[in-house]
Formats: sequence, structure tokens, C-alpha cells
Amino acid sequence: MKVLIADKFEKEGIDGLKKLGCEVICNPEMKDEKLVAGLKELAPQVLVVRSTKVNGAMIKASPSLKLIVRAGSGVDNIEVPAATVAGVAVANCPGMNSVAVAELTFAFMLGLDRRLVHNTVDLRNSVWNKKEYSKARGLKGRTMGIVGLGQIGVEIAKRAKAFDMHLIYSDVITNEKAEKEYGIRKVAQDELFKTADFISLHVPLNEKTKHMIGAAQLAMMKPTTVLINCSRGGVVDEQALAAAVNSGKLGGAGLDVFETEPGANDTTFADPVIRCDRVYGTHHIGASTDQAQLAVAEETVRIVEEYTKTGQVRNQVNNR
Amino acid sequence: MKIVVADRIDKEGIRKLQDLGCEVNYKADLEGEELVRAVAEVGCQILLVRDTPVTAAVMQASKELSLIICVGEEYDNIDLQAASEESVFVANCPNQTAAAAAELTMGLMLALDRRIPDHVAWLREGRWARRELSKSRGLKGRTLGVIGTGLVSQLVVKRARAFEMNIIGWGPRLTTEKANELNMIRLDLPEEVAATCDILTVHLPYLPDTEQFIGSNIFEEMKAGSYFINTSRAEVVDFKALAKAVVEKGLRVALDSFPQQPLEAMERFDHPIVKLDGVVYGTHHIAELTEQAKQAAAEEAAAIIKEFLATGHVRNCVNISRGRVPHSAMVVRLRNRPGVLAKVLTVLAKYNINVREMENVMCDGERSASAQIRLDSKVDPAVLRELQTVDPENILGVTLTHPGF
Repeated sequence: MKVLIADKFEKEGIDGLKKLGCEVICNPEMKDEKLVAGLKELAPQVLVVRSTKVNGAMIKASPSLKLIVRAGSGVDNIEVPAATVAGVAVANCPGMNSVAVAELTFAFMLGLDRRLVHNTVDLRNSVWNKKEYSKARGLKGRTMGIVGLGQIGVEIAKRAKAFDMHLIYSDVITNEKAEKEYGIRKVAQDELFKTADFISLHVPLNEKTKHMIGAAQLAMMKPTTVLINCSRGGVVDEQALAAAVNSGKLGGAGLDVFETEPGANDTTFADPVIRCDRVYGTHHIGASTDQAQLAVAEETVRIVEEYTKTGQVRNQVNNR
Repeated sequence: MKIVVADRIDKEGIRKLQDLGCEVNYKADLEGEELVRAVAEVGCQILLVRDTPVTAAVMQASKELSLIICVGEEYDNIDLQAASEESVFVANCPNQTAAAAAELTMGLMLALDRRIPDHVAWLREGRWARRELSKSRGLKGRTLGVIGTGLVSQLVVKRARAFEMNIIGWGPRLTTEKANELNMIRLDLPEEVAATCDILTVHLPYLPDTEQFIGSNIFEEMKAGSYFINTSRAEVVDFKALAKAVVEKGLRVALDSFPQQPLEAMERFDHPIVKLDGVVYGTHHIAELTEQAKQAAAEEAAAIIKEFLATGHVRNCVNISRGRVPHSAMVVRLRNRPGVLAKVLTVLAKYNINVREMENVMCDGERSASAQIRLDSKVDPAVLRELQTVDPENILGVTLTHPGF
């Protein structure tokens, strides 16, 4: 089995593929025309990519190609219908970033509660202000509200339980296993907005969820509530959020994603929401930990292993 | 009972004190001379503080002051020697603030890993720097090393386990058995913990033998680029050695307290370590300070006062002499009448025997009582004879329970 990796990839993943007996060619520079040529010349059976674009021309370039693995969750960079037409399976590695996102959510919760950024900035500016920073509320005994109890939500619930928090969630489905394991209770979404001290959003972005947190929802929240969004930028109406935070109607917000996010090569950031004093932000790094990347690499190896041994494709996104 | 509250203390706790029938004088912002004046003016019996310094002058300001409660874990703002000299009991509220300290520790750990303050600062400057700031290791699967295994440490371990970290540790009294119970692996030396872990967190009390306990011996062992967190007292860390490790090994550091840090009010404070080129984050000695912790501590303070009012016993008292044991002890059975106990004490005084501690317990029916008296010197047969014969109608019997040497 010949595997072409046309992206940067963890050494552990390359070693894992080699251990399966695969011939592995890793070339992160192989993109666009070079990838078409590479596929033609090398004729691999498996193509592994992270963000490298895979189009119909590439898929046709290698008649031997049987499987494309996206080392990550979204498959937006792969022309899936073209693969389907060519009889090439496309698989992804969903859920591997759950832990990394849950950790970032807690970094925001604890960071905003204790105002860790302000603390450090003041100290660097030679200001001591213990009186101001002794106003934190703490997590113990507070209510954690999780909107969307999927894999990420469950990882958050597990951690919140260890912090002795009360747990509630809202979702279209009922997760009985999590309810049993973590004592988390399902409530109506509005009730969650009204009662939770910390709210974390874990929903996909679609027509239904666009601006699902707007002025009306923010008005339901307590003035001390902290809102975290590590899902997708458009889920929160940033203008309404800024207004709520600035007028003291919301305790604070942690945002890993924004409505207007810079591209990979941009160096400036102009979203005004970040200038709100009680808004902390990060550079869309929810999935960016070594642990998450390693988990993706391991899942990639598992997909290839199963395929070589059984012909079955795990996590296939274009099964007929 | 009059109480002066000289720090910001949870309202619910104050209400509990009022419910006990106490007069509560809330003087949250007073310090120094002003506090002395306020205590004198009120003539309080009880003083509640958190980190306001309590000097001998404060204690002497009210003749009736008999109890000082620190509404938190720490009490080195109290002149304990002066308190003991003036026979004022000092109590603290241990364990109530441990969850808050554990939360800050985890918050700093995650902040170090994701470099949250740098993200926010850069975005606010209008800079998008995803490439530079997206390299994090994550906590899952990493090894957390803990030094000190008190309650804060245990609560950190509980949280870190939920983050699926591996835990190793060392503490002055940590046994292998206790380590197993706490779901951690005990190593023989703190240096071994430092050498093995990815993240080191310190939870030691500040005592003469823990001063600068975490020094170059520890930092030299730590892996390059590993994280160091101290939410216990600054005094347990050698800051010079730490700064060296930041510069030379790229240690990422988060600290909650600093040498010579100011008190509560806002003022200028310069510590070079937070200005080093590297990842060094700091907080303003707030480990114990969340509403939840303040509420729990205030409730404990109210419980201490309730018990003190009911029994005179001071829970969590930190200045009771524990070094010496009584030389001898006796039990005196006596009639429940005025002056009988005084007769016993008069005989002891005549032979120059000092009473160390005593307790008088009433028997059913209220006719008789039993006094347990612990003494500082030996009791001669002559003393016993005199006690047995001085008033046999009221002093029913004397037994030497610990005859002394």
C-alpha cells in the first residue's frame, strides 16, 4: 500500500503508517499542480491531507487512488462528489479535537472568572491591585450550561463535575449516558440561558444557528454570566454581545471564533468585539494542541489499518 | 457581643453573626492607627480580619478583646506573640478556601498552555498571529508534578484527573499508601518530581523550613520549556533561581504572590520577573479570593463565634501552647456551692503550685461537680492532705490522676 501525505503530519503518524507496512511519501509542499503531477507519478492508493485542497483533476490523476483521508474533521477542502464519482472513499477524523476544545473552554471560564489577562497586564505595567482582583465568583457550586451535548460537551461536563459545578444542557437529542455519568440535566434552551453562570456553545453553523445568541438571548442571561464560544463565529451576534458586555448586562465572554476571521496569511485583526474589556479572545486555536494533532494522526493510522486489513473505510463521509 | 469586621467579608456571613445577636461594626477599609481607634471606640470582644495587619496596639485598644478570627487560611498578618501575651485567642478558617486556590492553579495551568494573556493582548493590538500562538501541548496525557499534598493540592489533583493528566508528587508527610489513595504516584524526592513532570505546581505552607524550599535544586532538574506554577506563598520560592530558569530554560511560569508585595489597595509595584522576555503570568495574591471561598470562610467564622459564645471553646485556635505538657493533674470532687473551688485554688496558691488548665463539670442533679485541674509542678502529700481536710463537707475527695515526678 502506497500512502502519499500532501501536508505536514505528525512523526508518530508517519511511523504508524510505516509500521503497517505502507510505503509512505510525505511532501508538505505538494499542492495544486504539483499535487496533480505527484499523484500521477507516484500512483498512491491512499492520500492524506490536512488543509491541502483536493479537486476533481487530482482525483482523476491517480487511477490507483482508493482512499482520501482528511486528517481533521471538516472535509470542505476536498471535492467529495468528484471522489464519489471516481469511486474513491473519503474519510475524516471527527471528534479528535474534543479534549482540546474542552480545555480551551475551561481556560476561558477560569481566565474570565479570575481575569487572568488583566492581572498579568497590570503586573507588567507595575500596577498592584489586589482589591480589584479579589472580586471573582469561583466555579464551585456554580451552574455550567452546555448548549449542544456532543463529544466536546461531554468532555466539558466531565471536567465541570470535578470542579463541583451543577450541570445543565440543551440539545435536540437526549444524552442519557452523559446524564447518568455526570449528573447533567436537560433543560429548555431559554431556561439554560436564564439560569447558567457559565454558558458554552457547541453547535454547527447553519441557518438555524446563525446569530442564535442575539440581543433577546443575551437579555435572558444573568449580569454575572460568562459566555464561551469555541464553535463557529456566526453563532453569536457580536454587536449584541458587545452591547451586553459593555452595559454590564453580561459578565464576560470568551471567543475563539469571530464573525470576521482573518485568513491564514493575514496579520491584522479588526473585529471591534475584542476591545470590550470583558471579552477575551484567542486565534481560533480550539483544536490546536499537540494532543489533538496526535489523536488525529492516530485516527488516520487506524483508518488506513482497517482499510488494508478489511477493505472497510472507517468514518467514510461518502458511503453510497 | 461586639464585633469589628476589618476586611471585606461575605455579607451572608455577617448576617449569620447578627442572627447570633452580635453587634457587627463593619469597618472594611481601616488599617493602622484608624483600626486602633475603631477598635477602641467600639470596645469589641471579637475582631474579624482577612489580611489587614493586627498589631499589639490594636489588641490593646479594646480591654475586652478576646478573639481574633482570620477569615481565611493565612494568619501571618497577626502579631501572634502579642496576641498570646495579651491572652487573645487567634483562630483561622482553614480548608474553606482550598477550592478557590485549586481553581486558580488550574486556570493558570491552562493559561500557560494556551498563552491566553498573549492572545488577548495581541488581538487587542489588532494583530492576528495564529501561527505563533497556536502551538500548545494540551493537558491530557501530560504529567503534573505536585509538591506538597495538603487539601489544595488534593483538590488540584481531583481536577487534573478529570483533565486526564498523569500525577506524580512529593510531600513531607506523603506515604505511598496515601499517594495511592489520592490517585498519584509518590516519588522519593521533590527533585525527582521536578525532573519527571511537564508541569510543576507547588502547594507548601510557609514555615521556617519551607522558606525558599523551591530553589535551583528544583529548577535545574526541570525540563526545558516545562511549566511552573506557585499559588502558595512567595516565600517558599527562590525568585532569583526562578528568573534564571525562565531565561535559560524557557520555563513558562505563573505566580500568585511575590516577595514584598503590597497589601490590598492599589499601588505601584514592580517585580522584574513578570517583565522577563518569555511566558510569565501573574496574579495579585488572589488564590483564596472567590465569592464561593469568601462565603465558605465567613460561614466558618460565624460557626467559630457561635461555638465560642456557647462554650468558650475556640475552634481552629492557632496560639494555644502545645509545646509543653502539664507536670501533674488532679480531679477534685466538690459540692456545687460558691467559694468551694476558690478554697481549692487558695490551697494550691499557698504551696506555690501554678494552675495550667482546669475544667469544672457539673454532675446530674446539680448538687456536685468534678474539677479537673492540670498543674505546672509536683503535688506533695502535704498538699493533698490539706485539700482533703480543709473543708471535708464541701471538698468531697481529691485524686491525683497524674502524680508527676
